[in-house]
Amino acid sequence: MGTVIEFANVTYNYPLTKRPAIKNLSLKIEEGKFYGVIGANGSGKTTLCALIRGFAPSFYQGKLEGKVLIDGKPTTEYGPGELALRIGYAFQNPFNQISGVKDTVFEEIAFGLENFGVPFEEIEDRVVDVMRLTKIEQLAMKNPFEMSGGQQQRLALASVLALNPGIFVIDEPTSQLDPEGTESVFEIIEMLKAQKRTVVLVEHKVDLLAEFADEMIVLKGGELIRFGDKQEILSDISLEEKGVQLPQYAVLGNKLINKGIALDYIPITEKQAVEVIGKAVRQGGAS
Amino acid sequence: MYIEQIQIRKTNPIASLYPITKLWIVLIYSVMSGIIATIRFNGYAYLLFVWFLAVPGLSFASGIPFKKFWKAFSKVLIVALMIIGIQMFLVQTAGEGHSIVELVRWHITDWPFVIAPTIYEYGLQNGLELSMNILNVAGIFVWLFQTTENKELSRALEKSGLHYKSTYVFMSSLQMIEVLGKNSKTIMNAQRARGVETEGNVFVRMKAFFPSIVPLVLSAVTNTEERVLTLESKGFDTPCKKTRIFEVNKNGHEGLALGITIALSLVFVVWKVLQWVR
Repeated sequence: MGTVIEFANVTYNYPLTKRPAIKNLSLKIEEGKFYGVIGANGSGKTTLCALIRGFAPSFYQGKLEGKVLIDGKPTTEYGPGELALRIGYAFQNPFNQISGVKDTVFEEIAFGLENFGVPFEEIEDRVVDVMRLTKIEQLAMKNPFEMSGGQQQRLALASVLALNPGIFVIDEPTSQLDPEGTESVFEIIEMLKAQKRTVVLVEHKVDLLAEFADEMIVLKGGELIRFGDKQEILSDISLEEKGVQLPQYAVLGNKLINKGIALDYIPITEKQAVEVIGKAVRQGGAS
Repeated sequence: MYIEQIQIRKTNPIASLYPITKLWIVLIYSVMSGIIATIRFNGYAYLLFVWFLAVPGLSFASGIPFKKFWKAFSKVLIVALMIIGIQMFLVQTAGEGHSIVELVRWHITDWPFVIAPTIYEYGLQNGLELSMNILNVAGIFVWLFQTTENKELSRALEKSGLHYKSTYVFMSSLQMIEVLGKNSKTIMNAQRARGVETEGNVFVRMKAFFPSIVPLVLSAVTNTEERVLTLESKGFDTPCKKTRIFEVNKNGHEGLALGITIALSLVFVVWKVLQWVR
């Protein structure tokens, strides 16, 4: 697996700001892996997404030092629309991810394909495939503005998926959704993982990130403070002091260890918690 | 299967006219309203009433139910009646040297300090002309939008050469009217929950205007920024020939419809020229 996204000493300031939103960031993102991005509010998570996608600095302007490379080429050198085929982008507000000019879900998903001049004969098949994958085929003729937030977010992801990008950058897709909507969106994210796409997901729901991510990117004040294996990072209780929320199972595991209960490792998912705490309980019961 | 479902098929030959043809009819009709208004008989532009008959005529011939037509048109009618009322009671003269012609003067009492309402002829003529022009132009646009979906018009404009970004602005603006309406209700409810009085006399409502309009405008600006990112993510700016899965086509009667419109218009143009020559 090669490097698809690379940050080489990147510092970025939004226009008219003194404090950089991202400071001296260097990291490499490998193809086919799932990266969870966590950090306190204002740590630079959304800016990281904007830099990967090329919106910073091309849309937001501002000052960029260093390079953000996609497939070895700086984002600033990509032409209009080129990055859209390479990187799919979804963000918080599902309502704003609707084009606003299409009357049906089918047309909304086809909108991107129309813009890229995909042949007429090919469009219907691609849209139907995507609707089936994202389980929204029953909503094909529904008006996007009449859908719930969860449905709109599924539609947003489907619209991006129709373009078949290799990389997905998703910025807090469930922050405005109820639990049912969240679950339905994560079904799609799970599917992206199963398809071995490169995913960079910003989420505050760390428990869900722990289930899906391969590696973690932890930001604080625009700087990278941890990067690497999710098991190691999400079980590190010292991160809480830096404003990073850990999975509830990791917090429980740390507390049990502090109480003198021996655990083989600190769990970060429900399955791990059941396994490791269950074993400790059995061993404690046996003794 | 789905591409076929999203197409719009109409059986009525007038309703299914090509949108650009309908736009031409609207344009010619509106211009002719202005010309017909100058054809006067004893100061009254009676022919505007005759010309107006085309609006309900076209609407019913297009298969628009009366209720639907009336729902849209009645709002314009109220405005027109208000204009007539204001003009005929207040506008007294065409200018210096013209005598005030009082059509009707009601005497409530002979006491000099009591105002007696009067209908002035010039005001009535002016009001009728202005109102009929408004009814004609508004009416023909009501017909256009009740027989043509926004996406049909947008697609036809794009096929005629209008840039796809312009048609996007046109379509999204129409969509946003409904969205802004819903958002304004949400914001009003939110402000009401914060103690802002939104119901009452006109001064109370005026005070509530700014706390309601500012969040509406700010949220619209923020939403616009995110929508730009969405469009970019969907390749909106990509310089290539776009595919379009929704199509509009001519039904074959466009020439006849335009011909009739132009022929009827020429009758009035000739009338006006003859009147002018005499």
